[in-house]
Amino acid sequence: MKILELAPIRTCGLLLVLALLGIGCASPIALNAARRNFNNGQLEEADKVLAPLPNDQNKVLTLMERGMIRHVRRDYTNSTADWLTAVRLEKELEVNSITKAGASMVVNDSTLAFRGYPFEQTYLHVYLAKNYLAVGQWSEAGVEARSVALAMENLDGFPDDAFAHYMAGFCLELCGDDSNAAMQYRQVARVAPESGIDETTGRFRSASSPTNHPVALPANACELVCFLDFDGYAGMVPYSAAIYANGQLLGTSRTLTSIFQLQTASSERMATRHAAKTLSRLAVKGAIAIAVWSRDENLGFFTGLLLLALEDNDMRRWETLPAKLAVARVPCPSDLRQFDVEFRSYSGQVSRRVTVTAPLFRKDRVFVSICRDNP
Amino acid sequence: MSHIKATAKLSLVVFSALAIGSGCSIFRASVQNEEVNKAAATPLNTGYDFADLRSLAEAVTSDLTDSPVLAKKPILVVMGVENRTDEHIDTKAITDTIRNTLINKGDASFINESRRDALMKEQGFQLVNCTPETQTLIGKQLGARYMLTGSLIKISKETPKQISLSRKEQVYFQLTIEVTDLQTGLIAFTTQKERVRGASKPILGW
Repeated sequence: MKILELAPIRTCGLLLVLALLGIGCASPIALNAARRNFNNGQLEEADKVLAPLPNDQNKVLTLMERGMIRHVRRDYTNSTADWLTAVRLEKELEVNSITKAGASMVVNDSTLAFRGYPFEQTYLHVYLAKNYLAVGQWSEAGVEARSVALAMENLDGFPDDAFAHYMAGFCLELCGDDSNAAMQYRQVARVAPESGIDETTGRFRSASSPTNHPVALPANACELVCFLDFDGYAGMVPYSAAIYANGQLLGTSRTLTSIFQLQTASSERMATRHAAKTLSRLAVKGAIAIAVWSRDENLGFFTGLLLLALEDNDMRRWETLPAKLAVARVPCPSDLRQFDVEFRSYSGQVSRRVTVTAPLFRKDRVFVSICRDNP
Repeated sequence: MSHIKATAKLSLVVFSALAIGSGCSIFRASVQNEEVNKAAATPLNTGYDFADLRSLAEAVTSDLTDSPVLAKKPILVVMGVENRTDEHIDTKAITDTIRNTLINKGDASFINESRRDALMKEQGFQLVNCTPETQTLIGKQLGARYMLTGSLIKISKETPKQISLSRKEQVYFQLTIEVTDLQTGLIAFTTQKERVRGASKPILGW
Protein backbone atom coordinates (compact mmCIF):
# COMPACT_ATOMS: atom_id res chain seq x y z
CA MET A 1 0.00 0.00 0.00
CA LYS A 2 2.84 2.32 0.90
CA ILE A 3 4.31 1.74 -2.53
CA LEU A 4 1.09 2.99 -4.15
CA GLU A 5 1.10 6.07 -1.95
CA LEU A 6 4.63 6.88 -3.00
CA ALA A 7 3.85 6.50 -6.73
CA PRO A 8 3.09 10.19 -7.42
CA ILE A 9 6.30 11.28 -5.70
CA ARG A 10 8.23 8.81 -7.81
CA THR A 11 6.58 10.11 -10.96
CA CYS A 12 7.59 13.64 -10.03
CA GLY A 13 11.09 12.52 -9.19
CA LEU A 14 11.37 10.70 -12.50
CA LEU A 15 10.16 13.77 -14.36
CA LEU A 16 12.66 15.97 -12.57
CA VAL A 17 15.50 13.58 -13.37
CA LEU A 18 14.35 13.43 -17.01
CA ALA A 19 14.17 17.19 -17.14
CA LEU A 20 17.60 17.71 -15.65
CA LEU A 21 19.15 15.02 -17.82
CA GLY A 22 17.33 16.19 -20.91
CA ILE A 23 17.91 19.91 -20.70
CA GLY A 24 21.69 19.61 -20.29
CA CYS A 25 22.32 23.23 -19.33
CA ALA A 26 26.13 23.21 -19.44
CA SER A 27 26.65 23.19 -23.22
CA PRO A 28 24.22 26.06 -24.07
CA ILE A 29 26.08 28.32 -21.59
CA ALA A 30 29.43 27.48 -23.20
CA LEU A 31 27.96 27.89 -26.68
CA ASN A 32 26.56 31.32 -25.89
CA ALA A 33 29.84 32.44 -24.32
CA ALA A 34 31.78 31.24 -27.36
CA ARG A 35 29.38 33.00 -29.73
CA ARG A 36 29.74 36.25 -27.78
CA ASN A 37 33.53 35.98 -28.00
CA PHE A 38 33.30 35.17 -31.71
CA ASN A 39 31.11 38.19 -32.43
CA ASN A 40 33.53 40.41 -30.49
CA GLY A 41 36.47 39.12 -32.50
CA GLN A 42 37.97 37.20 -29.55
CA LEU A 43 38.49 34.05 -31.57
CA GLU A 44 41.09 32.44 -29.32
CA GLU A 45 38.84 32.86 -26.29
CA ALA A 46 35.89 31.47 -28.23
CA ASP A 47 37.93 28.43 -29.22
CA LYS A 48 39.05 27.88 -25.62
CA VAL A 49 35.49 28.00 -24.28
CA LEU A 50 34.46 25.17 -26.60
CA ALA A 51 37.65 23.14 -26.15
CA PRO A 52 35.98 20.56 -23.88
CA LEU A 53 33.46 18.94 -26.20
CA PRO A 54 30.18 18.13 -24.41
CA ASN A 55 28.83 14.62 -24.75
CA ASP A 56 25.21 15.69 -24.85
CA GLN A 57 22.48 16.58 -27.31
CA ASN A 58 24.42 19.67 -28.44
CA LYS A 59 27.55 17.84 -29.56
CA VAL A 60 26.91 18.34 -33.30
CA LEU A 61 26.01 22.00 -32.75
CA THR A 62 29.16 22.56 -30.68
CA LEU A 63 31.26 20.98 -33.43
CA MET A 64 29.57 23.22 -36.01
CA GLU A 65 30.30 26.36 -33.97
CA ARG A 66 33.83 25.34 -33.00
CA GLY A 67 34.61 24.38 -36.58
CA MET A 68 33.53 27.86 -37.72
CA ILE A 69 35.59 29.59 -35.02
CA ARG A 70 38.64 27.60 -36.12
CA HIS A 71 37.85 28.25 -39.80
CA VAL A 72 37.86 32.01 -39.19
CA ARG A 73 41.09 31.60 -37.15
CA ARG A 74 42.54 29.88 -40.26
CA ASP A 75 43.12 26.73 -38.24
CA TYR A 76 41.82 24.75 -41.20
CA THR A 77 43.11 21.35 -40.06
CA ASN A 78 41.22 21.36 -36.76
CA SER A 79 38.20 23.07 -38.29
CA THR A 80 38.01 20.29 -40.89
CA ALA A 81 38.37 17.64 -38.18
CA ASP A 82 35.48 19.19 -36.23
CA TRP A 83 33.18 19.40 -39.23
CA LEU A 84 34.00 15.90 -40.44
CA THR A 85 33.13 14.60 -36.96
CA ALA A 86 29.91 16.64 -37.04
CA VAL A 87 29.00 15.09 -40.42
CA ARG A 88 29.64 11.57 -39.07
CA LEU A 89 27.66 12.17 -35.86
CA GLU A 90 24.80 13.78 -37.77
CA LYS A 91 24.56 10.69 -40.00
CA GLU A 92 24.43 8.47 -36.91
CA LEU A 93 21.46 10.54 -35.71
CA GLU A 94 19.42 9.31 -38.67
CA VAL A 95 18.47 6.48 -36.31
CA ASN A 96 15.78 8.03 -34.10
CA SER A 97 16.37 7.39 -30.40
CA ILE A 98 13.21 6.09 -28.72
CA THR A 99 14.41 7.15 -25.25
CA LYS A 100 15.24 10.71 -26.33
CA ALA A 101 12.00 11.00 -28.31
CA GLY A 102 10.17 9.87 -25.15
CA ALA A 103 11.99 12.46 -23.04
CA SER A 104 11.15 15.17 -25.59
CA MET A 105 7.45 14.33 -25.15
CA VAL A 106 7.56 15.21 -21.43
CA VAL A 107 10.19 17.98 -21.46
CA ASN A 108 10.73 19.81 -24.79
CA ASP A 109 12.49 19.37 -28.14
CA SER A 110 15.81 20.64 -26.72
CA THR A 111 16.29 17.17 -25.23
CA LEU A 112 16.64 15.78 -28.75
CA ALA A 113 20.11 15.63 -30.26
CA PHE A 114 20.64 18.65 -32.52
CA ARG A 115 20.89 17.78 -36.21
CA GLY A 116 20.10 21.17 -37.70
CA TYR A 117 17.91 21.96 -40.66
CA PRO A 118 18.91 20.39 -43.99
CA PHE A 119 20.57 23.65 -45.07
CA GLU A 120 22.76 23.58 -41.95
CA GLN A 121 23.73 19.97 -42.71
CA THR A 122 24.55 21.03 -46.29
CA TYR A 123 26.61 23.96 -45.05
CA LEU A 124 28.86 21.57 -43.16
CA HIS A 125 29.90 20.28 -46.59
CA VAL A 126 29.99 23.79 -48.12
CA TYR A 127 32.38 24.99 -45.40
CA LEU A 128 34.43 21.81 -45.54
CA ALA A 129 34.87 22.55 -49.24
CA LYS A 130 35.95 26.09 -48.31
CA ASN A 131 38.52 24.68 -45.88
CA TYR A 132 39.94 22.41 -48.56
CA LEU A 133 40.02 25.30 -51.07
CA ALA A 134 41.83 27.41 -48.46
CA VAL A 135 44.66 24.87 -48.32
CA GLY A 136 44.68 24.06 -52.03
CA GLN A 137 43.35 20.50 -51.71
CA TRP A 138 41.19 20.59 -54.83
CA SER A 139 40.24 16.91 -55.02
CA GLU A 140 39.10 16.89 -51.37
CA ALA A 141 37.03 20.01 -52.11
CA GLY A 142 35.56 18.02 -55.01
CA VAL A 143 34.54 15.25 -52.60
CA GLU A 144 32.62 17.79 -50.51
CA ALA A 145 31.13 19.32 -53.66
CA ARG A 146 29.62 15.95 -54.55
CA SER A 147 28.12 15.72 -51.04
CA VAL A 148 26.61 19.19 -51.51
CA ALA A 149 25.20 18.25 -54.92
CA LEU A 150 23.70 15.04 -53.48
CA ALA A 151 22.16 16.91 -50.55
CA MET A 152 20.61 19.47 -52.92
CA GLU A 153 19.07 16.79 -55.12
CA ASN A 154 16.31 15.85 -52.71
CA LEU A 155 15.24 18.95 -50.80
CA ASP A 156 11.84 17.59 -49.79
CA GLY A 157 10.24 21.04 -49.63
CA PHE A 158 13.17 22.74 -47.88
CA PRO A 159 14.60 25.88 -49.53
CA ASP A 160 17.02 25.70 -52.42
CA ASP A 161 20.31 27.57 -52.12
CA ALA A 162 22.25 29.29 -54.90
CA PHE A 163 25.50 29.64 -52.95
CA ALA A 164 25.69 25.92 -52.12
CA HIS A 165 25.11 25.13 -55.81
CA TYR A 166 27.82 27.62 -56.80
CA MET A 167 30.33 26.17 -54.37
CA ALA A 168 29.61 22.65 -55.64
CA GLY A 169 29.88 23.80 -59.27
CA PHE A 170 33.14 25.65 -58.73
CA CYS A 171 34.85 22.77 -56.87
CA LEU A 172 33.75 20.33 -59.59
CA GLU A 173 35.05 22.76 -62.24
CA LEU A 174 38.43 22.85 -60.47
CA CYS A 175 38.47 19.03 -60.52
CA GLY A 176 37.85 19.04 -64.27
CA ASP A 177 34.28 17.73 -64.00
CA ASP A 178 32.89 20.43 -66.31
CA SER A 179 29.56 18.78 -67.15
CA ASN A 180 28.52 18.39 -63.50
CA ALA A 181 29.86 21.87 -62.76
CA ALA A 182 27.65 23.32 -65.49
CA MET A 183 24.69 21.44 -64.01
CA GLN A 184 25.27 23.19 -60.68
CA TYR A 185 25.70 26.58 -62.37
CA ARG A 186 22.37 26.00 -64.12
CA GLN A 187 20.80 25.55 -60.68
CA VAL A 188 22.37 28.86 -59.55
CA ALA A 189 20.79 30.56 -62.57
CA ARG A 190 17.43 29.02 -61.67
CA VAL A 191 17.52 29.91 -57.96
CA ALA A 192 19.21 33.33 -58.32
CA PRO A 193 18.56 34.61 -61.86
CA GLU A 194 19.42 38.16 -60.75
CA SER A 195 23.04 37.07 -60.17
CA GLY A 196 23.64 37.17 -63.94
CA ILE A 197 25.59 33.91 -63.92
CA ASP A 198 26.75 32.37 -67.18
CA GLU A 199 25.57 28.77 -66.84
CA THR A 200 28.38 27.31 -68.92
CA THR A 201 31.38 29.04 -67.32
CA GLY A 202 30.22 30.07 -63.83
CA ARG A 203 31.34 33.64 -64.54
CA PHE A 204 29.06 36.60 -63.98
CA ARG A 205 27.77 38.96 -66.63
CA SER A 206 28.16 42.68 -66.24
CA ALA A 207 25.24 44.96 -67.09
CA SER A 208 26.72 45.62 -70.54
CA SER A 209 27.62 42.04 -71.54
CA PRO A 210 25.29 40.18 -73.94
CA THR A 211 23.17 37.46 -72.35
CA ASN A 212 23.38 34.99 -75.24
CA HIS A 213 27.18 34.56 -75.28
CA PRO A 214 29.34 32.74 -72.73
CA VAL A 215 31.46 35.07 -70.60
CA ALA A 216 34.99 34.30 -71.78
CA LEU A 217 38.25 35.06 -70.01
CA PRO A 218 40.74 36.94 -72.22
CA ALA A 219 43.56 34.75 -73.59
CA ASN A 220 46.42 34.24 -71.11
CA ALA A 221 44.47 36.14 -68.44
CA CYS A 222 43.87 34.83 -64.92
CA GLU A 223 40.83 35.14 -62.72
CA LEU A 224 40.24 35.39 -58.99
CA VAL A 225 37.39 33.54 -57.32
CA CYS A 226 36.84 34.82 -53.80
CA PHE A 227 34.12 33.41 -51.54
CA LEU A 228 32.87 36.15 -49.23
CA ASP A 229 31.01 35.93 -45.92
CA PHE A 230 29.05 39.02 -44.94
CA ASP A 231 28.56 39.39 -41.19
CA GLY A 232 27.64 42.99 -40.69
CA TYR A 233 30.61 43.63 -38.44
CA ALA A 234 30.30 47.40 -38.77
CA GLY A 235 26.67 47.28 -37.64
CA MET A 236 25.19 46.71 -41.08
CA VAL A 237 25.33 43.61 -43.27
CA PRO A 238 27.20 44.56 -46.47
CA TYR A 239 25.28 44.49 -49.72
CA SER A 240 28.27 43.76 -51.92
CA ALA A 241 32.06 43.80 -52.03
CA ALA A 242 34.43 45.37 -54.54
CA ILE A 243 37.73 43.69 -55.31
CA TYR A 244 40.87 45.73 -56.00
CA ALA A 245 44.40 44.73 -56.95
CA ASN A 246 47.26 47.24 -57.26
CA GLY A 247 44.72 50.01 -56.73
CA GLN A 248 42.66 48.94 -59.72
CA LEU A 249 39.03 47.79 -59.46
CA LEU A 250 38.76 44.18 -60.69
CA GLY A 251 35.02 43.74 -60.17
CA THR A 252 32.26 43.30 -57.63
CA SER A 253 30.72 40.37 -55.81
CA ARG A 254 27.31 38.73 -56.27
CA THR A 255 25.35 37.89 -53.13
CA LEU A 256 23.79 34.48 -53.62
CA THR A 257 22.31 33.48 -50.28
CA SER A 258 20.86 34.91 -47.10
CA ILE A 259 21.11 32.55 -44.13
CA PHE A 260 18.17 34.34 -42.49
CA GLN A 261 15.96 33.51 -45.48
CA LEU A 262 17.08 29.87 -45.43
CA GLN A 263 16.35 29.73 -41.69
CA THR A 264 12.90 31.29 -42.09
CA ALA A 265 11.92 29.08 -45.03
CA SER A 266 13.10 25.96 -43.19
CA SER A 267 11.15 26.95 -40.05
CA GLU A 268 8.03 27.46 -42.18
CA ARG A 269 8.53 24.04 -43.77
CA MET A 270 8.60 22.45 -40.30
CA ALA A 271 5.91 24.66 -38.70
CA THR A 272 3.02 22.18 -39.04
CA ARG A 273 5.07 19.28 -37.70
CA HIS A 274 6.30 21.38 -34.76
CA ALA A 275 2.78 22.57 -33.94
CA ALA A 276 1.43 19.01 -34.00
CA LYS A 277 4.23 17.81 -31.75
CA THR A 278 3.75 20.68 -29.29
CA LEU A 279 0.02 19.88 -29.04
CA SER A 280 0.74 16.18 -28.45
CA ARG A 281 3.33 17.04 -25.82
CA LEU A 282 0.91 19.36 -24.01
CA ALA A 283 -1.65 16.54 -24.02
CA VAL A 284 0.89 14.11 -22.54
CA LYS A 285 1.91 16.65 -19.90
CA GLY A 286 -1.72 17.28 -19.04
CA ALA A 287 -2.38 13.54 -18.68
CA ILE A 288 0.62 13.13 -16.35
CA ALA A 289 -0.44 16.10 -14.19
CA ILE A 290 -4.03 14.75 -13.92
CA ALA A 291 -2.74 11.26 -13.00
CA VAL A 292 -0.66 12.73 -10.16
CA TRP A 293 -3.52 15.08 -9.17
CA SER A 294 -5.83 12.11 -8.69
CA ARG A 295 -3.48 10.81 -5.95
CA ASP A 296 -2.32 14.10 -4.44
CA GLU A 297 -3.73 17.48 -5.38
CA ASN A 298 -0.73 19.55 -4.27
CA LEU A 299 1.71 17.28 -5.98
CA GLY A 300 -0.46 17.27 -9.10
CA PHE A 301 -0.46 21.07 -9.18
CA PHE A 302 3.30 21.14 -8.70
CA THR A 303 3.83 18.53 -11.43
CA GLY A 304 1.63 20.44 -13.88
CA LEU A 305 3.49 23.64 -13.12
CA LEU A 306 6.86 22.00 -13.56
CA LEU A 307 5.92 20.39 -16.87
CA LEU A 308 4.53 23.65 -18.23
CA ALA A 309 7.66 25.51 -17.09
CA LEU A 310 9.74 23.05 -19.08
CA GLU A 311 7.76 23.80 -22.25
CA ASP A 312 10.09 25.74 -24.55
CA ASN A 313 10.72 26.23 -28.25
CA ASP A 314 13.82 24.60 -29.62
CA MET A 315 15.68 27.67 -30.83
CA ARG A 316 19.04 25.99 -31.39
CA ARG A 317 20.75 26.89 -34.63
CA TRP A 318 24.22 27.24 -36.12
CA GLU A 319 24.70 30.89 -35.15
CA THR A 320 28.24 31.54 -36.38
CA LEU A 321 27.16 31.12 -39.99
CA PRO A 322 27.41 34.51 -41.72
CA ALA A 323 24.35 36.61 -42.52
CA LYS A 324 24.92 36.43 -46.27
CA LEU A 325 27.21 34.56 -48.64
CA ALA A 326 28.63 36.02 -51.83
CA VAL A 327 31.14 35.24 -54.52
CA ALA A 328 33.37 37.47 -56.59
CA ARG A 329 34.72 36.03 -59.84
CA VAL A 330 36.82 38.66 -61.52
CA PRO A 331 39.74 38.84 -64.00
CA CYS A 332 43.03 39.50 -62.20
CA PRO A 333 46.76 39.95 -62.84
CA SER A 334 48.71 36.71 -63.31
CA ASP A 335 51.16 37.70 -60.55
CA LEU A 336 48.48 38.31 -57.90
CA ARG A 337 50.01 38.24 -54.40
CA GLN A 338 47.32 40.15 -52.52
CA PHE A 339 44.09 41.99 -53.12
CA ASP A 340 41.78 44.38 -51.29
CA VAL A 341 38.13 43.78 -50.47
CA GLU A 342 35.89 46.79 -49.93
CA PHE A 343 32.64 45.90 -48.17
CA ARG A 344 29.84 48.20 -49.31
CA SER A 345 26.33 49.00 -48.12
CA TYR A 346 23.26 49.09 -50.39
CA SER A 347 23.89 52.79 -51.04
CA GLY A 348 27.51 52.09 -52.02
CA GLN A 349 28.99 53.42 -48.80
CA VAL A 350 32.23 51.63 -47.84
CA SER A 351 31.89 50.02 -44.42
CA ARG A 352 35.26 48.31 -44.26
CA ARG A 353 38.32 47.58 -46.38
CA VAL A 354 40.57 44.57 -45.81
CA THR A 355 43.70 43.37 -47.55
CA VAL A 356 43.79 39.64 -48.27
CA THR A 357 47.14 37.91 -48.60
CA ALA A 358 46.05 34.47 -47.44
CA PRO A 359 44.54 32.05 -48.12
CA LEU A 360 45.32 32.58 -51.79
CA PHE A 361 46.01 29.50 -53.90
CA ARG A 362 46.39 29.15 -57.61
CA LYS A 363 45.31 26.31 -59.88
CA ASP A 364 46.16 26.86 -63.55
CA ARG A 365 44.60 30.23 -64.40
CA VAL A 366 42.38 30.48 -61.34
CA PHE A 367 43.27 32.09 -58.01
CA VAL A 368 41.07 30.95 -55.12
CA SER A 369 40.54 32.80 -51.87
CA ILE A 370 38.08 33.28 -49.02
CA CYS A 371 37.31 36.33 -46.92
CA ARG A 372 34.95 37.09 -44.05
CA ASP A 373 33.73 40.43 -42.81
CA ASN A 374 34.38 39.57 -39.17
CA PRO A 375 35.98 41.75 -36.46
CA MET B 1 1.03 -8.09 -3.12
CA SER B 2 4.00 -6.28 -1.55
CA HIS B 3 5.68 -9.68 -1.23
CA ILE B 4 5.53 -10.24 -4.98
CA LYS B 5 6.87 -6.75 -5.71
CA ALA B 6 9.73 -7.18 -3.27
CA THR B 7 10.64 -10.51 -4.87
CA ALA B 8 10.49 -8.94 -8.35
CA LYS B 9 12.73 -6.10 -7.24
CA LEU B 10 15.21 -8.49 -5.68
CA SER B 11 15.29 -10.60 -8.85
CA LEU B 12 15.96 -7.50 -10.95
CA VAL B 13 18.83 -6.42 -8.72
CA VAL B 14 20.34 -9.93 -8.71
CA PHE B 15 19.99 -10.23 -12.53
CA SER B 16 21.61 -6.84 -13.06
CA ALA B 17 24.47 -7.68 -10.70
CA LEU B 18 25.01 -11.01 -12.49
CA ALA B 19 24.91 -9.39 -15.91
CA ILE B 20 27.46 -6.74 -14.95
CA GLY B 21 29.60 -9.08 -12.86
CA SER B 22 29.75 -11.81 -15.47
CA GLY B 23 31.10 -9.36 -18.05
CA CYS B 24 27.97 -9.25 -20.20
CA SER B 25 29.09 -7.88 -23.59
CA ILE B 26 26.61 -4.98 -23.37
CA PHE B 27 28.54 -3.54 -20.43
CA ARG B 28 32.07 -4.37 -21.44
CA ALA B 29 34.53 -2.90 -23.93
CA SER B 30 36.75 -5.41 -25.66
CA VAL B 31 39.75 -5.34 -27.96
CA GLN B 32 41.21 -8.25 -29.86
CA ASN B 33 43.47 -8.91 -32.84
CA GLU B 34 41.66 -10.22 -35.87
CA GLU B 35 42.84 -12.11 -38.91
CA VAL B 36 42.84 -9.70 -41.89
CA ASN B 37 41.11 -12.00 -44.39
CA LYS B 38 38.44 -12.93 -41.88
CA ALA B 39 37.84 -9.30 -40.90
CA ALA B 40 37.66 -8.29 -44.57
CA ALA B 41 34.93 -10.84 -45.16
CA THR B 42 32.59 -9.15 -42.68
CA PRO B 43 31.89 -5.57 -43.76
CA LEU B 44 30.48 -3.28 -41.06
CA ASN B 45 28.82 -0.74 -43.36
CA THR B 46 28.40 0.13 -47.03
CA GLY B 47 31.29 2.61 -47.12
CA TYR B 48 34.71 2.07 -48.64
CA ASP B 49 36.89 0.06 -46.27
CA PHE B 50 40.15 -1.90 -46.15
CA ALA B 51 38.48 -4.93 -47.72
CA ASP B 52 37.73 -2.82 -50.80
CA LEU B 53 41.27 -1.50 -50.90
CA ARG B 54 42.64 -5.01 -50.86
CA SER B 55 40.18 -6.62 -53.26
CA LEU B 56 40.19 -3.80 -55.83
CA ALA B 57 43.99 -3.44 -55.82
CA GLU B 58 44.54 -7.22 -55.99
CA ALA B 59 42.13 -7.60 -58.89
CA VAL B 60 43.77 -4.78 -60.84
CA THR B 61 47.26 -6.14 -60.16
CA SER B 62 46.21 -9.57 -61.36
CA ASP B 63 44.91 -8.11 -64.65
CA LEU B 64 48.04 -6.00 -65.07
CA THR B 65 50.34 -8.97 -64.49
CA ASP B 66 48.54 -10.92 -67.22
CA SER B 67 48.68 -8.03 -69.70
CA PRO B 68 51.33 -7.77 -72.46
CA VAL B 69 52.26 -4.31 -71.14
CA LEU B 70 54.32 -5.86 -68.39
CA ALA B 71 55.93 -8.50 -70.64
CA LYS B 72 59.22 -6.57 -70.88
CA LYS B 73 59.23 -5.55 -67.19
CA PRO B 74 58.88 -1.82 -68.03
CA ILE B 75 59.40 1.25 -65.88
CA LEU B 76 56.18 2.93 -64.74
CA VAL B 77 55.33 6.18 -63.03
CA VAL B 78 52.23 6.49 -60.86
CA MET B 79 50.33 9.73 -61.42
CA GLY B 80 47.45 9.01 -59.04
CA VAL B 81 43.91 7.74 -58.97
CA GLU B 82 41.28 10.48 -59.04
CA ASN B 83 38.75 10.25 -56.22
CA ARG B 84 35.37 11.07 -57.82
CA THR B 85 33.27 9.89 -54.88
CA ASP B 86 31.66 11.81 -52.01
CA GLU B 87 33.89 10.04 -49.46
CA HIS B 88 37.37 11.12 -48.43
CA ILE B 89 39.24 8.07 -49.69
CA ASP B 90 43.01 7.67 -49.74
CA THR B 91 43.31 6.57 -53.37
CA LYS B 92 47.11 6.67 -53.10
CA ALA B 93 46.79 3.55 -50.96
CA ILE B 94 45.36 1.74 -54.02
CA THR B 95 48.34 2.58 -56.23
CA ASP B 96 50.74 1.88 -53.33
CA THR B 97 49.29 -1.63 -53.03
CA ILE B 98 49.48 -2.23 -56.79
CA ARG B 99 53.07 -0.94 -56.92
CA ASN B 100 54.12 -2.98 -53.89
CA THR B 101 52.91 -6.23 -55.47
CA LEU B 102 54.37 -5.53 -58.92
CA ILE B 103 57.80 -4.56 -57.53
CA ASN B 104 57.97 -7.56 -55.20
CA LYS B 105 56.98 -9.95 -58.01
CA GLY B 106 59.58 -8.34 -60.28
CA ASP B 107 56.98 -7.56 -62.95
CA ALA B 108 57.78 -3.85 -63.24
CA SER B 109 59.96 -1.04 -61.89
CA PHE B 110 58.63 2.28 -60.65
CA ILE B 111 59.94 5.82 -60.60
CA ASN B 112 59.68 7.30 -57.10
CA GLU B 113 57.86 10.40 -58.32
CA SER B 114 56.66 11.44 -54.84
CA ARG B 115 60.26 11.74 -53.58
CA ARG B 116 61.67 13.38 -56.70
CA ASP B 117 62.35 16.71 -54.97
CA ALA B 118 64.10 15.02 -52.02
CA LEU B 119 66.13 12.94 -54.45
CA MET B 120 67.34 16.02 -56.35
CA LYS B 121 68.19 17.72 -53.08
CA GLU B 122 70.25 14.74 -51.92
CA GLN B 123 72.05 14.57 -55.25
CA GLY B 124 72.85 18.29 -54.98
CA PHE B 125 74.18 17.74 -51.46
CA GLN B 126 76.37 14.85 -52.61
CA LEU B 127 77.74 16.88 -55.49
CA VAL B 128 79.07 19.50 -53.08
CA ASN B 129 79.91 17.50 -49.96
CA CYS B 130 80.67 13.84 -50.82
CA THR B 131 83.83 12.14 -52.01
CA PRO B 132 83.95 11.52 -55.80
CA GLU B 133 83.96 7.72 -55.41
CA THR B 134 80.71 7.74 -53.35
CA GLN B 135 78.89 10.49 -55.29
CA THR B 136 75.85 9.39 -57.29
CA LEU B 137 76.11 10.42 -60.92
CA ILE B 138 73.91 13.23 -62.16
CA GLY B 139 71.69 12.71 -65.20
CA LYS B 140 71.63 8.92 -64.89
CA GLN B 141 68.04 8.51 -63.71
CA LEU B 142 65.82 6.26 -65.75
CA GLY B 143 62.73 7.53 -67.52
CA ALA B 144 59.37 5.81 -67.25
CA ARG B 145 57.83 4.20 -70.32
CA TYR B 146 54.31 4.05 -68.96
CA MET B 147 52.13 6.23 -66.76
CA LEU B 148 49.60 4.63 -64.38
CA THR B 149 46.45 6.66 -63.67
CA GLY B 150 42.85 5.95 -62.78
CA SER B 151 39.62 7.02 -61.17
CA LEU B 152 37.31 5.78 -58.47
CA ILE B 153 33.58 6.49 -58.67
CA LYS B 154 30.71 5.79 -56.32
CA ILE B 155 26.99 5.50 -56.98
CA SER B 156 24.55 5.12 -54.08
CA LYS B 157 20.87 4.42 -54.00
CA GLU B 158 18.46 4.01 -51.12
CA THR B 159 14.80 3.36 -50.60
CA PRO B 160 12.65 6.50 -50.80
CA LYS B 161 10.91 7.90 -47.73
CA GLN B 162 8.17 5.51 -46.67
CA ILE B 163 6.63 4.07 -43.53
CA SER B 164 8.98 1.29 -42.53
CA LEU B 165 11.30 0.42 -39.65
CA SER B 166 14.41 0.27 -41.77
CA ARG B 167 15.96 1.94 -44.79
CA LYS B 168 17.80 -0.06 -47.44
CA GLU B 169 20.78 1.27 -49.32
CA GLN B 170 23.17 -0.02 -51.94
CA VAL B 171 26.57 1.46 -52.66
CA TYR B 172 28.51 0.73 -55.83
CA PHE B 173 32.20 1.50 -56.35
CA GLN B 174 34.01 1.27 -59.68
CA LEU B 175 37.77 1.56 -60.02
CA THR B 176 39.23 2.24 -63.47
CA ILE B 177 42.97 1.91 -63.97
CA GLU B 178 44.73 3.02 -67.14
CA VAL B 179 48.33 2.54 -68.28
CA THR B 180 49.35 5.10 -70.90
CA ASP B 181 52.36 4.74 -73.19
CA LEU B 182 54.34 7.96 -72.60
CA GLN B 183 55.99 7.68 -76.01
CA THR B 184 52.87 7.32 -78.13
CA GLY B 185 50.25 8.76 -75.79
CA LEU B 186 48.07 5.71 -76.40
CA ILE B 187 46.31 3.84 -73.62
CA ALA B 188 48.18 0.54 -73.54
CA PHE B 189 46.08 -1.13 -70.88
CA THR B 190 42.85 -0.44 -69.01
CA THR B 191 40.79 -2.39 -66.52
CA GLN B 192 37.66 -1.78 -64.44
CA LYS B 193 36.84 -3.41 -61.13
CA GLU B 194 33.63 -2.96 -59.22
CA ARG B 195 31.92 -3.87 -55.99
CA VAL B 196 28.40 -3.35 -54.71
CA ARG B 197 27.29 -3.67 -51.11
CA GLY B 198 23.83 -3.44 -49.63
CA ALA B 199 22.76 -2.66 -46.09
CA SER B 200 19.63 -2.12 -44.10
CA LYS B 201 19.66 0.72 -41.59
CA PRO B 202 17.17 0.84 -38.71
CA ILE B 203 15.10 3.99 -38.31
CA LEU B 204 14.54 3.47 -34.58
CA GLY B 205 17.09 2.79 -31.87
CA TRP B 206 17.64 3.32 -28.15
